Amino acid sequence: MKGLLLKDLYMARKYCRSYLFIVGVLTIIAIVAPFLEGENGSTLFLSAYPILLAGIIPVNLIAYEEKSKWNQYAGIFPYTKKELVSVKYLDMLMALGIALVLAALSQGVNLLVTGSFRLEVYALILAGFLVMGLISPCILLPVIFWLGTEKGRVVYFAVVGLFFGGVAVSKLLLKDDDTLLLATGEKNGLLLGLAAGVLLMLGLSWRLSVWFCEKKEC
Amino acid sequence: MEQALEIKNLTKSYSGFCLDGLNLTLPSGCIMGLIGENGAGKSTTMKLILNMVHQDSGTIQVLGKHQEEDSQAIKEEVGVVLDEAGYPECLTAKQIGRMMTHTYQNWDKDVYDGYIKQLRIPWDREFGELSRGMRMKLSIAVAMSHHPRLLLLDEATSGLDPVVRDEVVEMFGEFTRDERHSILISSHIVSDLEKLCDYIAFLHKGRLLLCEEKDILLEQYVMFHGTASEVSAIRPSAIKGKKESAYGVEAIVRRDAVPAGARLTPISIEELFIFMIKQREGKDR
Repeated sequence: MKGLLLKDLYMARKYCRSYLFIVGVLTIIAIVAPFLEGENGSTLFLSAYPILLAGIIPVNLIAYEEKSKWNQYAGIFPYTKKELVSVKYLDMLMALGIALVLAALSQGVNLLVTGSFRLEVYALILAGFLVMGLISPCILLPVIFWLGTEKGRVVYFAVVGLFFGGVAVSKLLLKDDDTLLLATGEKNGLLLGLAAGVLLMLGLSWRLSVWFCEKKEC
Repeated sequence: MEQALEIKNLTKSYSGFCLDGLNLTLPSGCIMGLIGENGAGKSTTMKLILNMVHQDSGTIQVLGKHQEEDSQAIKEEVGVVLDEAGYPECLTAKQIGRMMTHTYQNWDKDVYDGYIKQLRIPWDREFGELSRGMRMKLSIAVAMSHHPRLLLLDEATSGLDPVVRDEVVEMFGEFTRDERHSILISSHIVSDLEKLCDYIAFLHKGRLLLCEEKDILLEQYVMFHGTASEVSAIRPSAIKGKKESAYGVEAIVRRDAVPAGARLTPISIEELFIFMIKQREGKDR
């Protein structure tokens, strides 16, 4: 497994530089914006976007592996199929972890500078980011291990489209009172429930990916 | 004698292809050459041994272990070179070496470094930038650097220039000096196999036509030169294949079945293979 992680690190260093650049720029803007714009400096999108990108990193690596036929060639080495799948989930969790740390930093600064820092709101924002970051790769990875990256990407765009569609609809429904709704215990419970659901989904997604991979012939 | 590889009644079907009840035994310390035309089932056999594809029926024992139940343990002791190496294109030989340190329990960095130097593989050039020959050499270096007991080589010498091919064939020969080491090698370049192998197996359309010690084959069979009527006097079961032309008939026959005084010349394994395949295809039509 350590060998596979090292390989993915080398690949990420080569193929994911542009992501690192985008994430760096967005994080800097997200930190600086509230100092320039005061209370109007909402940076949720700037912090959320790197989290969405984090989910794409393992998919990108799998696409490059398919191109070089590593996905078939790996069968000659003493790796189990479970390890071959698990390393992609680890990649995803590591990328997501880094993106979440940066988001926590930029959102913390934002809330402090705008004078609206409340621990429960802060925690809810981060929980929301975690949910958002996990949903798409949890759906996408089993599909990719089943159908390959070409078809998997179509599913990914559909999921992202549905997500933003959902956000837009919820904005319309909550337009006058959204901050108030976020603060209620009911919504807290809902979001925490959703976070627990997504963690469960992560487990199921991993099991499903292993199953697809084991069924597949190299 | 301990067997490095034992395949019994191995069957695998795809649409349009069937590996049909394959039986093969490779004794420890020996080299077996798997010869067959494209699509004969050589690569499928290699992948079945490595559990990369699922067999329909049959059993495979590798180094005394069951190939499905002990797949990981087997791969620790087997070095593999497939006809197309599939390392990620951005990796260099140096990075692949580091990766393998954490992949194989018995990875030997010094041995790997030695092969990289001996085969003149650039350390820092990305895999995607290497020529086909260079990629094969790198795969061979990886396959031999974790002290394997069995090498599975699928077209491992294709794409190499004659000088390097000779060097690599010598490396394989060196490997089997240790009597616990064995090789199963498939190649289109039959001359390489003839130089290297103790045993020869012919695969044709998923069926094993023949599996025998090379020296016995070369001893048992000869090229008979004569007329059509002279050939027809030889019992048909002793004829492995024949080629008719305006100048007469050439037939590969069992030495003990030809009459005294017949004009005979030694055969090569390549001739035996081609004659047998043509004979078989004639029957199939």
